[in-house]
Amino acid sequence: MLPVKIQVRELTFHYGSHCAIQGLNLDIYQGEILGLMGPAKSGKTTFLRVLNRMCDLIPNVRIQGSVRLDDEEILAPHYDVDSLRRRIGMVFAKPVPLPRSIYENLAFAPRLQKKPQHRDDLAELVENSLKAAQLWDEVKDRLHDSALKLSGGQQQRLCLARTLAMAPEVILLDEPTSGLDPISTARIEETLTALKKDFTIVLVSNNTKQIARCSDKVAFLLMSRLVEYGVTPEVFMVPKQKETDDYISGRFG
Amino acid sequence: MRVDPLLTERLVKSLLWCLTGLTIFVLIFIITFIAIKGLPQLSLSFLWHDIEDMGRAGGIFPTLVSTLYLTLIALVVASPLGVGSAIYLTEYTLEGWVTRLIRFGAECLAGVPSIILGLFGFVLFVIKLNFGWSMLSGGLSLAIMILPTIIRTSEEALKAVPKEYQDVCFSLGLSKWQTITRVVLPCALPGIMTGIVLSIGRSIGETAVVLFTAGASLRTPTSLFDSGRSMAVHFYILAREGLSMPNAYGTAAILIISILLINITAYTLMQRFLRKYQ
Ligand SMILES: Nc1ncnc2c1ncn2[C@@H]1O[C@H](COP(=O)(O)OP(=O)(O)OP(=O)(O)O)[C@@H](O)[C@H]1O
Ligand SMILES: [Mg+2]
Repeated sequence: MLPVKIQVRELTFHYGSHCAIQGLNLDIYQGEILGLMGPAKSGKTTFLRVLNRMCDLIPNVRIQGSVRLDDEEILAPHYDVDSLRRRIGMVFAKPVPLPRSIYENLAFAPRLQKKPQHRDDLAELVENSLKAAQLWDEVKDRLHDSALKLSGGQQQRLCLARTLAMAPEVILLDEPTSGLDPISTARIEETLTALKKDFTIVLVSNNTKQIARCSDKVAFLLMSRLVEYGVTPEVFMVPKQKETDDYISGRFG
Repeated sequence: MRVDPLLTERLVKSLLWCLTGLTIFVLIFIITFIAIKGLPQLSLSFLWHDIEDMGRAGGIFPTLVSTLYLTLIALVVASPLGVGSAIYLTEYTLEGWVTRLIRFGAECLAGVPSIILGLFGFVLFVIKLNFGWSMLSGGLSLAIMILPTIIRTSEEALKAVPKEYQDVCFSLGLSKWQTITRVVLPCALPGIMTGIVLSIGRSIGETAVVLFTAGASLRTPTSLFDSGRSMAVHFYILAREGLSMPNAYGTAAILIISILLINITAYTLMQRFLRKYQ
């Protein structure tokens, strides 16, 4: 049995008076891909934003319950969120390259952290991260071109590489392939499968087939509640709840 | 009666063209007028010589120095204050009655006539703080005058930076300050610079504020506490007292040329900066 990386207990989240997550209990295991699926507005993005405390940036929110990373409470009021976000990286649904060169997009955050001391080490870090995100071959000759000139699929892999360059322990991906063509999607899925031995991954997707292909465990959110959680093939073959069955077979959502 | 949309389109287009043409005509008219009257007066000695005989003869060197002095003081004081307030307003507070009050205050300040600002500067800096008619009093009063512009333009520029950039930075573990200095400010810099360049133009051309606070001494100011007259004030006095119209136009020409030069330099620098960042 793999060790638990993140333990979520009785998590409830409110935007003002609107409840977006209700009484969520979930374990995320080290070195696995957890697939999170659910119809629109079910609270998937909100859940990811709680895990790296990006939800702090939104005014008027209320969090209750407990989220423990390596058995350490991350919802504690004075927890160091900057270092938390370096441990739990996030890739957004819409790829957002910063208006700089490809190289700078990857290098600037580690450089601020003074992680690699030397310039050559930084260049190596950039190269390795781009290779891990399977982007290196396409951009190795134009590292100093603007990142904004890349295609959508390349931009999304750049964002993944940028997160990898921070050497996080957990990676959160919010519908990373929602705007991409099938080939780019396949490349990203390949990348994720290759990455999971080093990272713990939470993958949110609207695409149930993608979840079925990539994830080890799957969680199904519906109307801000966790409806079903289990090992991926089991959930897809013999769902315990009727709602899950309906969702998987496309009868609603 | 139905109006032919194609005809309306044409009418509107020519009307708009006329309006634009009129604006440009006024601009060109002013510039050529000053150029025709002023350029013949210009020579190196006009630039480098002291003012003689109350401005009837000699050059305008002291007014160049005074203008530079006043504008620099105003910029050095107002830019950090203005950009700082804008950062505070956009990044560190939530939209609420406090921000609205501050913004309202800045707007009121922008609407105060410059002659009243001059009087205020006179009372506060010249009399109360006892700086006398001086570069310091003049520069500080100009700073108050341009502050609202700098705040407003910086705020707009900061707000135009996509929120996603900040999300990305935070998700990479950057602190708020790192995010602002490394990503938000560089993106907003072109807009901020536009505001600052506009303010430079206004400071150089301002008369009333400076007349009340920096005085109109003919000597070249050498310290913060010296009095001196800016180019605009010199022009005003020459023209009003009828001392020498040719020299007045000469001064006006230099005034316009310097503002043009500053705009062109700022624009070129900005282009270079943009290329580096994209
Ligand atoms: N910043 C916000 N302020 C207020 N309410 C919000 C905010 N973000 C999300 N919500 C609300 O919280 C609920 C859950 O939203 P969330 O974005 O987590 O859903 P989601 O499952 O990610 O949906 P989607 O598949 O459309 O991305 C929705 O009802 C949404 O309207
Ligand atoms: Mg979402």
